[in-house]
Amino acid sequence: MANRYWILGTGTWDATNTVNWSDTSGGSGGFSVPTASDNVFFDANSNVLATAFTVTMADTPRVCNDFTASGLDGTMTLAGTNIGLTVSGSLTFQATNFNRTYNGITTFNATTTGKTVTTNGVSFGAGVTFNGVGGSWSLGSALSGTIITLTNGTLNLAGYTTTLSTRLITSIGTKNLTFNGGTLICTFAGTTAFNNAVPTGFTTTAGTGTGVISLTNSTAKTFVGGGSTFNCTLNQGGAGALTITGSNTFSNITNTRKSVSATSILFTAGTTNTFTDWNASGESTRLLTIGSVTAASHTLSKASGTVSADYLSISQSTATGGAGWYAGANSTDGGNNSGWIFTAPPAPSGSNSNFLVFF
Amino acid sequence: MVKIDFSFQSQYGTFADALHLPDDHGLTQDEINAMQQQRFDNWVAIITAPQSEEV
Repeated sequence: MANRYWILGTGTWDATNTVNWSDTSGGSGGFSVPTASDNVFFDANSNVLATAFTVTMADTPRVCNDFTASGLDGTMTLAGTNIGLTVSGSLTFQATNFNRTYNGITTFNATTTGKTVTTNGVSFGAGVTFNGVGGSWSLGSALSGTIITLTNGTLNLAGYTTTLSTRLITSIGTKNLTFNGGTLICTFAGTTAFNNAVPTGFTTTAGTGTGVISLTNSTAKTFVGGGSTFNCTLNQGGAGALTITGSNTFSNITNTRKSVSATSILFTAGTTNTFTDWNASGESTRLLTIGSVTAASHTLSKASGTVSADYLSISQSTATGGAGWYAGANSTDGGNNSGWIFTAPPAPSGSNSNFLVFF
Repeated sequence: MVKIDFSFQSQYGTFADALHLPDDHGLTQDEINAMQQQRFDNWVAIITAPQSEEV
């Protein structure tokens, strides 16, 4: 493993150019192009004086171990048309003086734990792939991009917000999504706004705090659950109907769209979705419709306790599992339901202020 | 390196992020607040302009 420092400002990071690489910050050039085991640095000595400069990647993919842009005193642009960047270690972008215009896929392929991804407000322009058997990456800040492909390894949101204009998709491998209070937002519409395409080998971990997956598009979108267990809250965050496919298990389900408009959560007929908690309700004049995609029933299951919802419009829904499923006094029975109780839940015992005072 | 965690609550949910700055960044609190606000504004722009076609 060696360190490679960029020097002399604007230049090309390709497979052969050694002019711009040094083994020390601001040192002489001519050192070998970084390999997947070398750390690359872009710092205050990477440019001429404090001028802006562009590092254009070519010969896809460019590779390195750690990628660190820090201490830049002139604006650096990391460019490259359809050129990917494969990082075998950690990645840190600088909060200021750093632009990303390369539009290839960024791949993280570490096979050991303890790696970090700190984009510092810089969006990825194309897909981001996590594919390292045994690898683990924690976010050091919020992350935004188009697609995350989770193939192998653990992606730890670490309490930060990840926002994708398309989706998260799982691929063949052993992969884990850990939340630790982080939120994954998929803004895309259509049939695969969240796509657990390969549920085999996919797990989720809640960690500390409450993790959330929120689908926010204003038109119809689908959460492809794949029958997995999601140790997080699934949130309907947009006006368009949210369709949930597969027989999945969720920690919780919510509807934050209720403060703005009516919306729907639909399930595939014949599926059973299991919840630890159910906190999806509507509000007055903004009902939440619970139904099936087709004219047959789905099943909702909760093992114990009480569901206390309200302002729902329910049809084709079987509520079961042992919990009391109270739809609320302001909910409507659209027919073909079972197990739902269209009243408010009974007041908890002892709530009528009867108590004894001992002296 | 200094890490400054921050979050904003909004109708779109919680936006949680962090600023990583050099130890000698020399920024004022107002400048840091402006950077945080810019991060949040950028995020809202993403949330409110969703893709409608395959990318």
